[in-house]
Amino acid sequence: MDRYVLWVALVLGAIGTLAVYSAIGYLAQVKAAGDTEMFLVRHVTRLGVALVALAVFSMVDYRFLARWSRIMLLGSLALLVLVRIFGVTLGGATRAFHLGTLSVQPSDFAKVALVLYVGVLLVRKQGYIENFQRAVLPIFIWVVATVVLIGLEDVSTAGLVLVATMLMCYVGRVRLAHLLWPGGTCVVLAVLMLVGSPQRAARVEAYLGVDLFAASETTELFNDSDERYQARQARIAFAMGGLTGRGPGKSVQRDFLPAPYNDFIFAIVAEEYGLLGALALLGLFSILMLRGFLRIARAAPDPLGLFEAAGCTILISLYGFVHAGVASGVLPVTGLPLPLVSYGGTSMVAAGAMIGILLNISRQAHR
Amino acid sequence: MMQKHGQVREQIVGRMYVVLLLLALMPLLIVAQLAWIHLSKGKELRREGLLQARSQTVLPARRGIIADQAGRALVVNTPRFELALDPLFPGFEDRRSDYVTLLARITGWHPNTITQRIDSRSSPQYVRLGTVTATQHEALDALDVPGLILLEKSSRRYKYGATAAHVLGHVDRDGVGQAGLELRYDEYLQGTPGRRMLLRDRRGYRRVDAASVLVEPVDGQTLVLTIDLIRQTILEEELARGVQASGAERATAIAVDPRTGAILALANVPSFDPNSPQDVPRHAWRNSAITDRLEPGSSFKLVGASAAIGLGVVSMDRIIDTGDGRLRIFGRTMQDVSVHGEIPFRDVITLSSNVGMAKTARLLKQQDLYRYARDYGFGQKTWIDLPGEVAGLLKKTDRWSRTTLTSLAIGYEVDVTPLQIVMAYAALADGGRLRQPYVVAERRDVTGNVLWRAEDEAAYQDSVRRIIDASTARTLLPAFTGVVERGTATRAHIDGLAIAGKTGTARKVVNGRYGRKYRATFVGFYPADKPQVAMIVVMDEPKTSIYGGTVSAPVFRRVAERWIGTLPEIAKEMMPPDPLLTLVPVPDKAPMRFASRTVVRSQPDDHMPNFLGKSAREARYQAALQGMQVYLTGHGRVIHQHPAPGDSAEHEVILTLQ
Repeated sequence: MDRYVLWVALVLGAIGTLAVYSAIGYLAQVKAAGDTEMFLVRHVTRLGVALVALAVFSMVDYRFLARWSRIMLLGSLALLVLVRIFGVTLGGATRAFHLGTLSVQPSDFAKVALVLYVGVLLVRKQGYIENFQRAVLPIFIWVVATVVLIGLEDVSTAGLVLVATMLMCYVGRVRLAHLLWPGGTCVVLAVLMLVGSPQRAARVEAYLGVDLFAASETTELFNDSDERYQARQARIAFAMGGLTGRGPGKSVQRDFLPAPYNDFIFAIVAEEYGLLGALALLGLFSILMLRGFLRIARAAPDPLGLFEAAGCTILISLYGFVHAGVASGVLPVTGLPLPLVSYGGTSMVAAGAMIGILLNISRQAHR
Repeated sequence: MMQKHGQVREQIVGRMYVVLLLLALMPLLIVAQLAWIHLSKGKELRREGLLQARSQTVLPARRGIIADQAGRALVVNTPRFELALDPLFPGFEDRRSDYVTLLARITGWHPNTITQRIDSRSSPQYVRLGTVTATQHEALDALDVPGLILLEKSSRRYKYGATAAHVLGHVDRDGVGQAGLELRYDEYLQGTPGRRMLLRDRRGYRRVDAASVLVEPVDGQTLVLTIDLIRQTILEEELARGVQASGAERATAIAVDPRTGAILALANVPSFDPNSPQDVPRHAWRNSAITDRLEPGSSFKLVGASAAIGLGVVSMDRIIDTGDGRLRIFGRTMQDVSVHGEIPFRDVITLSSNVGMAKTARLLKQQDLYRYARDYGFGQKTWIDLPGEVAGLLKKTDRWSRTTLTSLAIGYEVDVTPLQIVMAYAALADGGRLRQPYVVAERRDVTGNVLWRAEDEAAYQDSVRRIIDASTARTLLPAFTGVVERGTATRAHIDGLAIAGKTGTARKVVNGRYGRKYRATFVGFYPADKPQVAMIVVMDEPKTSIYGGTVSAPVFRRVAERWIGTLPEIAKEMMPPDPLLTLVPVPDKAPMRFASRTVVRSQPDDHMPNFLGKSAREARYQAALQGMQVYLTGHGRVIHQHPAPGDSAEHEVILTLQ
């Protein structure tokens, strides 16, 4: 079993607990009259669930999972549809079910299931992978269906899953020219979505600093100042942190950043533990990525193991880097959690599950 | 097949490396971005972050008090209550007229005035309505008027009104020193304001946090002066009386201890009440003692005499022919007040003969007279610790005209300040050593620890320079004691107290010409053999007489007489051995006191004086003259006294005022 990956997961969880405990203060003030401990307990519980998921998935043979991945994907797609109908409002878009205190986001299940199933499909179609109609198209149909359903609620997650599966397909020897098809489709889709949603357009405009679309009533309604504000506040957090940070629990920017415990946890870590803390986080995700590709995927006992390992690695490290990119202002503002670190329910469990799968593959590695 | 499988695997792994490289670009990009944020924008962003997150409350420091040499507080702080209003506060507008009526009833202001102030406010959310008394403050505090803001501020109270106004100076509305010691020692009096730093979130809520800072304010330092309240009061009273008697426009008096340079008292007429400095024209704020440039006239003869005797050009007994009291020098005629004929040089001083002085001066080199004038400190600041001092003007010899030598010898063609003159005579009194004058004896912290003492300061311990040697000073002395005994200032004479001095009567330059306006001076010191006080009295444009010996010398005398009680050594010398009077040292009780002071008291048959009905100031003054320590409570007039009047005397008296 790959100890590095296990340690990375545990250290990420530990850092996340510290940072979330500090960052949750404002939310606690507003929602629970300052009972920060309640949120800490909740976070640790979820982390525990995620670690249990990690343990369980590291035990279960990935081939067994692969066999059931189609059912899992179908199930989670059904859940996504249900959320659309019965979901509760959370942060502007309907994304989740509430199961007790745990809010369940089906997209988190869907993305894991999709990665697993794409891996399965890639293996199955290796013999005629260069044939677009027989091999590539079926994969794309699954991918696009999932991405669109996720995208209805959460565009950034959808985009991320799309990129991750495209990279998987590339690893799975799909021809580059074929990849351009869905890629191009998605660019068109993205533009349509931007035009359709002034809120999204404003975010991109804020990031680029130019007005892409002519001003209208809606631009005034969704002023981009909020987006610029967030990006600015995140930068302030980095600057305030300096090299070694302000110290644990001394973040000031948590009061100015929206959802600091989730979308901007990287900025909070950078503020409290400085540039060194930020580099450590990036380093941990880099270790995860390197081990995932170079050891686990390369040493996987069969092509299925290789594809699943590569898929999980791609998705987790992509999450990590995109989150860090958003927080540091390299990418436009989106609400993506940092796997295993952010305060968030099912996304953490999903991350734990994927690392569990990685560990299982590494356990079966041929030497 | 195996080979093909190998190729496929190679291709897959190769593509995986490509993906790895692509993904690895992202952390590199992020690291670059972080470095850019830190290196190029770090400072600006940190500043912005601090600004938006900090909510700072300033905790004001109390301004230091100013006390006289005996520790009596001259300047204190009193709370001031200010009433302000936020008319946009929810609920105010609905019942506005009710609230205005209510406020009007408590404050006693007219409702229309309040309405007007609210309507003509410059800030949308804040309007200052005015200052209220402590009782009104209490009543207003109990009200429930929405938007009402009650501020407790501190204002400066000068307990003895105009007393020592020019020394103390005054402050502006915000308590910043504007003049006098308040200005000169502002940095020490101010203290360091503290601050409470709270964190503020994006909705503006403040909260205490691990990063919150509390810096306690450091209160301002206490200044202990060389000036004594009793002596200052006497000097002011006598100066005012002298002004009234002579019809002078302005007047200045300064007394200094020649042994140290410590200013004992300093007064100017007109004066002002620093509690409300705006009530008088600004020229009344002027501390003439250090800011007036005047031609000294005869009092400047000290310089010529010092040069002549010090260089051995003449002796005190050398006969000078003053002729018929007229002398033509390069077309200008110099005149004496009366004809003296042939007189010894000593009488040139004593009788103040201009002709005699001019003739003596002609025996001197220009450089020598200039050097002596310079040595006495003319043309330079004395560097007293008060703001606004002028240096005066002493022309260098290369700019002298043919008449300058003789004019300078009798105190013309030179601009000096009253302080410079008295310091010159103090130097004569101290055996020829010029000292640096000062007003602040000590600086203490609020708990009374001495932080700084003038005595320990090298600049005050040592003299500035020696002008004449001690024997020359001794030689000169009889000429100046003669002035009071038989010369131009016999009105300054006090039986049993040897006073040395010199009158000065100088024509004033008005619009560039010498007119019919005069400045009358008397400057002197006593006791002549062991001087403790050097004092100058300057009357500007007196009406009854123009002579220093007539208008200024009497002021000097009365002050000297009334001061005897405050100067135990002089009092001891002057007192006839009387069995009823003994000297009792008063033990020090108050922490602000100096070393033990000796006060004259009649011992065996001794009763408490009656303080009832007196104001705080009168009571303090009287008690201080009796050497009693006073404890006051309340404001107004004395309604109760312990021990009661007529009881046997105590060292302490407790007075209740209302």
